[in-house]
Amino acid sequence: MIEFQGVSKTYGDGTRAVDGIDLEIEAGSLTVFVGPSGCGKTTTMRMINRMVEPTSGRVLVDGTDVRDVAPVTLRRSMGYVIQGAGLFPHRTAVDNVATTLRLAGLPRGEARERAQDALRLVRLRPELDERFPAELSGGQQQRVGVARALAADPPILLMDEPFSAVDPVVRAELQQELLRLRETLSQTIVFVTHDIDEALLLGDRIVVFGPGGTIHQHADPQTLLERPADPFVAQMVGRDRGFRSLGFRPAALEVLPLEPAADDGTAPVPGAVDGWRLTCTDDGRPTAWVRGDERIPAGEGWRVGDGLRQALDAVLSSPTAAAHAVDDHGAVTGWITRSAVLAAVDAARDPS
Amino acid sequence: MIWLLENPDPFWPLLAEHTVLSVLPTLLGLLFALPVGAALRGRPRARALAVLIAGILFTIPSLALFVVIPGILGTQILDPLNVVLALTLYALALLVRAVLDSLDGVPVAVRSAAQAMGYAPARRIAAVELPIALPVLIPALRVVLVTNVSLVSVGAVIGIGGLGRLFTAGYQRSYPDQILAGIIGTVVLALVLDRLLALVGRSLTRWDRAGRTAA
Repeated sequence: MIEFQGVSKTYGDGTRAVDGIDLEIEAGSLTVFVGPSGCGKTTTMRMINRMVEPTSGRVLVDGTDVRDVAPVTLRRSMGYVIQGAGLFPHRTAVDNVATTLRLAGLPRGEARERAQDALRLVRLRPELDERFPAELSGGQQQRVGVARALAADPPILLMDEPFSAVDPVVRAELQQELLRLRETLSQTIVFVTHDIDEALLLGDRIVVFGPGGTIHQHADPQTLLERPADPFVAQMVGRDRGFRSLGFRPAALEVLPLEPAADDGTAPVPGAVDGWRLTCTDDGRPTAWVRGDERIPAGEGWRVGDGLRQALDAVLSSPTAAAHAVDDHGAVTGWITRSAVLAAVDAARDPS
Repeated sequence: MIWLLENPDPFWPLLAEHTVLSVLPTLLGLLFALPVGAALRGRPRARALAVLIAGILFTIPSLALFVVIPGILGTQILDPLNVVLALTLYALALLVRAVLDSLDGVPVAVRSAAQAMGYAPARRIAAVELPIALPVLIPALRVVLVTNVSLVSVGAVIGIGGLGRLFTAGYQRSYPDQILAGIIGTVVLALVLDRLLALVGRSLTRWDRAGRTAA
C-alpha cells in the first residue's frame, strides 16, 4: 500500500504544485491519476520514488517512510515507464530491458535471458530484440519501455503518461495489452494520464486532480461517472458520462438459445418479426444481417460478461429488436433482446 | 624529402615524441573535462563562469604558456612536462564546453528514465549519458587532437617540439628540405590520428547510424 499523508510540494518561486494531499493507494490496484496538465499528478507520482521530495507531509510504502530508504534502492524496487518510452538509444531492445536486471545485480547472460522473457510478455516479436530503439516504431518502443519496467518484477509500477506519444490505434492496442498483463501480474500500478477515457478504461481506482494540486475525487470509475463529487469532476468525465457509466454495470441479461440455422445458412432471430436473419462464418462468427436483398454488416455483438453499455450499443446497432451474444472467441452463442436490455438500463438507473 | 630518406634515424624518435606530446594532453584534457563538465551541469552560474575562463585560457599564446609554466611549477625549461601541461590546459578549455554541449543533447526522457531506474548519478553519466553524448563529443575531440599536433611544433622554439624541431633545425641551417620533412610529417601525423579517432568514434556510435538508415 502507498500512503500520502498531508503531502505538499512548493517550489522555490512559490508555485504550489501539490497541496496537502491525503491518499491511500491499495496494494494490487491500478490507480490512475487523472487531471489537466499542471495539476500536480506527475509530481505526486514522482514523490513515490523520490524523484521529487515533498516540502511537507509523508509518503509511505508498505508502512515505511520513503525518506528512510536510499533513493537508488527505492527506485530499483519500482518499475518506471515514461512518456515516449525514454529508451537508451545506444542499447538494443533486449539490452535496454536487461538494464534494470543488471542494476539488480544479475550477470549479463542471465539478465539478457530474462529480458527476452519480459519482451515476450509484452509481445514484441523476437526478431526485434537486437534492434536499436531508433529502428523500432513508437508502439514497439513503448512495449520495450513497459518490458524494461517489468523485467525485474518490482512490486510497484509507476507509469507516467506512457501511451500519450503514440497514435490512437496503437494507443488502444497498448491499453488492451496493459489490461491483459494485469490478469497475470500482481503489481500495484500508479498510472498518470490527462485522458479521462484512458483513466476510465484502465483504472480500478481513479484519482481526479484539479488545478493547484488538489484531489477532487478518489473513486472507482462507475462512482466517478454516476456520482461526480463536484462540477469539476463532472466536467472532466464529460458529456456522455451517463451512457459510459453503463459500461461498468454488469449486465445480467438472459441469453436466448440459438436455433438451428436454416438451409441457406442464416439463423432465425427470436423476436425478429421483421424478417431479419443473421449469417455466420463456419466457426460461428457473425458476418451480416440479411433480409431479402438487404445486407448489413453485423457488428461484434455483445460479448457475454460485458457491461450494459456494450449490450445497449449492440441492440441499438442491430437492425432488428435483438442482438447476437458472442463468446470470448467472437462466436455467436445466443441472443439478447432490445426490450430486455432497456429494462436492465431502467433498473440500473433507478435511484437507489 | 631527400633529407628524410637519408636521415630516417632521427626522424622516428621525433615522430614518436610528437605523437606522445599530442595524444597524452588530449586524453588528460578529456579525463579532467568529463568530471568538470558533469559537475557544472545544472549549475548555470558556475557553468557560465567556467566557459568564460576556458575562453580566456584559450587566448593565451601557447609559447607564452610554455615559458610561464616552468616559472610557476619550478620545472626545468626543457622539461616536456611543460608542453604536456600547457596542451592539457588548452584541451581542457576546449573540451569542457564540448562535454557540456554533448551532455545537453541527451534527451530529458532518457535521463529521467535512467534516474528512475535507480542509476546513481556518476554511473548514470558513465553508462548512459556519455555514450549518448559521443556523436557530439567525438568531433570536438578530433579538433582538439589535430590542434594539439600543430601546437606541439611550437614547442620546438623552447627545444621540445617533436617534428617541429625539424623546422628550427632547418631554418638554422637554411635547409628547406628538412623543414619540408617536418611539415609533411606533422600533416601526415595529424591526418592519421584524426582518422584513427574517427574510426574509434564510429565503432562506439553504431547505434546512432542505425536509426538514420532505418528512418
